[in-house]
Amino acid sequence: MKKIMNVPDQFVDQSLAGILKAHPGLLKAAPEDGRAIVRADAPVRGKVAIVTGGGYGHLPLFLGYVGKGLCSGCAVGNVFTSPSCETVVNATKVVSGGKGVLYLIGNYMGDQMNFEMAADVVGMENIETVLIRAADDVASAPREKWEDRRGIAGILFAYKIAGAMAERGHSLQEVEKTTRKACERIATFGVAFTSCQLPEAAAPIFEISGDEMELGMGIHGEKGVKRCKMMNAHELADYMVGTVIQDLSLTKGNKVAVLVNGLGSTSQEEQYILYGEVADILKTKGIDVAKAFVGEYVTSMEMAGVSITLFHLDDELEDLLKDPMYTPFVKL
Amino acid sequence: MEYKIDQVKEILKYCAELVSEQKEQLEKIDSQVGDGDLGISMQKGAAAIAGEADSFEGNDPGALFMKCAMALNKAAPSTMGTLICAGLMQMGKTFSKKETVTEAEAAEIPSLFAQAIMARGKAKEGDRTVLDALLPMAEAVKTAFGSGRALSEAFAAGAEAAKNGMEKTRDMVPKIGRSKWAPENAKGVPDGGAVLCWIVAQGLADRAGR
Repeated sequence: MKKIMNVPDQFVDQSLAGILKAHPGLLKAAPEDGRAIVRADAPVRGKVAIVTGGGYGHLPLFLGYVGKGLCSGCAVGNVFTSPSCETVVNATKVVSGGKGVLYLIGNYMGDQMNFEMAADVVGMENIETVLIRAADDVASAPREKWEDRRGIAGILFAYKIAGAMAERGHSLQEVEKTTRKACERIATFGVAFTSCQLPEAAAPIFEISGDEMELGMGIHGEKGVKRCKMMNAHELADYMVGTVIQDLSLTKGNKVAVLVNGLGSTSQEEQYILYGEVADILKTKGIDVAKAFVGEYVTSMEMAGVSITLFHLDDELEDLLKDPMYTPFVKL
Repeated sequence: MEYKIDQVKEILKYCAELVSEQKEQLEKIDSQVGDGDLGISMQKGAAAIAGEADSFEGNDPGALFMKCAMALNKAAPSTMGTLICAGLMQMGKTFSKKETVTEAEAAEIPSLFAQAIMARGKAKEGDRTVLDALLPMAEAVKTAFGSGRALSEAFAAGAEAAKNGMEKTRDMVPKIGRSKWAPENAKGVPDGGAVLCWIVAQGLADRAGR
């Protein structure tokens, strides 16, 4: 394993220190908690704040979505491990602008429990919270149980919608309602070609042979649906986007936003080959693309692989998608 | 009798030490079933609880439990650590602004813990979790104390029930958490959370009511 680091158990904190040094005008840490990273202008008075968080090792997820038009703060855990309740509480207190706080996280048990506990703690101090779990991984549960799914790259769109609603000055209940609607209309399918390795671990999380790929893989090495021989770009696009179209029951005339997301070490050139195929398939089916995103938005350390997300838009969601946003890591 | 803050601290520290001593056993069990971090995270959590008990000033057991909850969660935000934290937070709320814990209240503690863990983790009896030791323990303590036995005897009965419950998890199929993805690995191995519960139950049996 070749990773730039000093000591493995300082991987997260030294990386965060670098981020704060690089973007001093945009991000800051909560007082006495270097794992609670918030917008430099927090708190924004009179607006709903959005706090996200989760394990480290997925940049730009989660921390990279802290910025104008997206999240207000992020609680950072260890690599692939939930942040502590205290860090969530610390982030919440710094960003709270008096109109309530939306907790928007991926659907993982440790994250959920720590955010729920933080909600209890800040509730005692009269900060109102609502928790929404993004659950978009088609491979992890059927459509009728979509709320049981793992949360993967599609959370990007949930951030965008929640952030735009909050920035426009809507109430916590309005932000919640529209974000929940969005979450139900987001679906993702991912594939992996190689494993990743934790900074403190001696070996990669799993083994996969040179000519194979894993379909429906999670972003922490969680098992997929099946393993098969490597496909070409056309077959891959057909399989992946076909699965997502079916899941969302998309038909001719529907409008979507598309995300082709690299998991860490698949080149942009490859990602665009895949997107070209996806765009052709959608065109053939009469599904309109309102906006496309191609790049690394949710990664898994140096794992090679890619995911495709479709976000089924209606007029309200399409309008919100156009609002400006900016963070040190992503522009949409 | 009633428990004042010093006795509460002493019992917390005693149980924390028992958990630390079992680090390797917990590690071994978890590496057969889960990701192997239970021993190290529980040792870190136990040390954090002992540290809070040492440095706590004041006489409100509720405030002490709440401090321990937060310290444990910071040291071990793993699923198990978070579940125990939920239990400690519930105790924090229950005993907030009180100066003592009565024997009757002490006999309710395992139930309070179990309820908080169920509310937070959404697991139920039979899912192969800490609850499969904790729920029988809670029932045994309440029944024994309610039928007039001394608190020490009630907690001894609780420890026995926790052990039986823990043994039964060897044959259970995991229904929740990460181990459900690889259920075949769990065959014949007790659930790590249930083992942890048994360790703490022994600690309480050693110290409660004495």
